[in-house]
Amino acid sequence: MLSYVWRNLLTRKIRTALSVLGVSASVAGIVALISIAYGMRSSIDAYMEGGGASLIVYSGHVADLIFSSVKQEELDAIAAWDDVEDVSRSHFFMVKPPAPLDGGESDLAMLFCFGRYRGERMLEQFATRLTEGGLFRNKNEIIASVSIADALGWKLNDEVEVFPGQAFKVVGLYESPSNWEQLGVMMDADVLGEKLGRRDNYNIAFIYCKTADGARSADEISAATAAAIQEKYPHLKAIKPGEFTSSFKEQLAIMDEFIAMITVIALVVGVLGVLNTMMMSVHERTREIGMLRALGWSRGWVIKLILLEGVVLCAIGGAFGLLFGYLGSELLIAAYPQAHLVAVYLPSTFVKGGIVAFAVGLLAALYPAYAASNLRPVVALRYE
Amino acid sequence: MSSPLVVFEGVRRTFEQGRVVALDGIDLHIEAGEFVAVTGPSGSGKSTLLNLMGAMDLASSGTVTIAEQRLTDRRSMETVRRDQIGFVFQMHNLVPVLTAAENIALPMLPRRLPAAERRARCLSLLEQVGLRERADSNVRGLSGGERQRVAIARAMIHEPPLLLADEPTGNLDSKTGTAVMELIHAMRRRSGSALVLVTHNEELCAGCDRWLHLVDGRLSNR
Ligand SMILES: Nc1ncnc2c1ncn2[C@@H]1O[C@H](COP(=O)(O)OP(=O)(O)OP(=O)(O)O)[C@@H](O)[C@H]1O
Ligand SMILES: [Mg+2]
Repeated sequence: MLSYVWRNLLTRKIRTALSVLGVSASVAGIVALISIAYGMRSSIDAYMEGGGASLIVYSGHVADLIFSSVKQEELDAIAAWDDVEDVSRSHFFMVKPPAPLDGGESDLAMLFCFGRYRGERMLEQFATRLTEGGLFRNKNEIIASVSIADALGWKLNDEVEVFPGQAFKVVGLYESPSNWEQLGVMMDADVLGEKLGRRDNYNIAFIYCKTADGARSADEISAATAAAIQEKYPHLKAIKPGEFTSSFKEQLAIMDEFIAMITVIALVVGVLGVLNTMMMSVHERTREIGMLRALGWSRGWVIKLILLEGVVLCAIGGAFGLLFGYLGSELLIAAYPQAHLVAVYLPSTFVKGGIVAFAVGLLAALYPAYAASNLRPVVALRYE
Repeated sequence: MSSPLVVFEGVRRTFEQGRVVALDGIDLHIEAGEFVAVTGPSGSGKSTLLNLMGAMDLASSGTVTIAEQRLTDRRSMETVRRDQIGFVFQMHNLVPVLTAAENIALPMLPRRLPAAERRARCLSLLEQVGLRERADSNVRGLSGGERQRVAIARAMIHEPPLLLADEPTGNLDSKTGTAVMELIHAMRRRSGSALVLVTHNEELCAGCDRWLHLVDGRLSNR
């Protein structure tokens, strides 16, 4: 049966190839989209988790972290709790990148600015990520990521204008696994706060809790601290850093909806393409199908034959689609380095792509199979 | 005595809302193992008769019974086709993309035989029709006579009690036609199948147990 199906597909090479291509394009699009969307999420999570904090605290009611505001007095109170070892305050801002020092043009879309304080763990730990120089010591020094320094032609000890008319000395260069930090510079939080017009409040605070004591595990301690923060300050949200993307649903749900929509479109396009191919193939083989019925094939077997043809077609298309999806994402990432996209390839993404291919095959073959099985054998055999 | 293999009682078959009468009141019995020849002018209803016998079509009125199974609906037709009937057409109707052996195996697919056994039967059938060495050649490479031999092997693979042949030699020269006809007889004798042969060539009717002549959808004596 399979070799029969296979041979049929091989006989109509160009048509089969076109359908396979259509299906693979659908599947590839879906795989690339999901992988890059996951990449975005994972780079957010990587940023949040990178500092090794037990909890992150931000305003629970805002739609974007930019508008989050955690007050100094709240953080002072929390820092005094027994279970809390350190509170690291953080500002976060995006600016247009300054012109490169060497006079050329950069293809950098934006520059991330992070405000940190010396003496707080979030920054002090960051010293291990430095590849050159040291952490900033005062308000007119910054550290920059190696890739930013490369893009803008900065070297250690250069004076650079991060904001127009405001020069900073680059005292350290770093590499970070977080895409955001990779696109940014770090400076004194007061300097950035002033730029943002913020006084005594922060976008986000990283809370470092005590590690396990005799009675409780580290997880239990941080969970209790999170609960205590949310009870005492209901407008704040305190969660584990790795839970950020899943708890910040409002914004990311749009992305999911977008993916779902594209998936449906891809599915419809794939189905229509394969449907056309299968209808043509059934039509051309009218006599053959009549003959099969005469040989004792039931309607069910004719349906099986055509469905199998559709599924095999789409399985091949799906396999190529998964491959193209991977290659396509990598190509996209390479083609737009300034967007600093990352793709995360989850096994579940490839499973989803496979399911889409399978669904396309089945859906597209359903009607042709029905039509083929409905041919009356006598009429089909008379067909020229 | 066991009941006849084929029983037609008052069978009419009309087309186009009764305006075309292809068969008009046919009564006939065919016993197991019989050789029945059917002749008649073009348009007299020969193919229509054969299609009814082959459970490919339903009578407009009257009853058709094959191997004690009355044909009334799709299901009964499918079962009868699968278990009782072998068809040889004027056109060989082989699947062009498959090899000779694969074509012969087609009727066996819905019968769920292990692949090895299926293959063995195909080869033995090909042996019988003298095409053992062409088993794995694509049928497009075979001559008309060879293709018809493959078609015969395909019709006989499940040793059907009733072999139906609609002008099996119609597309062949007379020498090849005679050889093909001899092959059909040899094969059906081996399995004890009855043969209903539709033909324009009266020479092929030699040795038949019964000769049915159709004129305008009716049987006439001959
Ligand atoms: N599906 C159909 N629709 C309409 N008319 C049909 C159909 N099948 C057969 N007929 C008509 O029924 C009559 C008998 O046709 P049939 O094919 O049985 O003749 P035949 O004896 O086999 O002829 P030939 O020797 O040319 O093959 C013809 O008049 C034909 O036009
Ligand atoms: Mg005819």
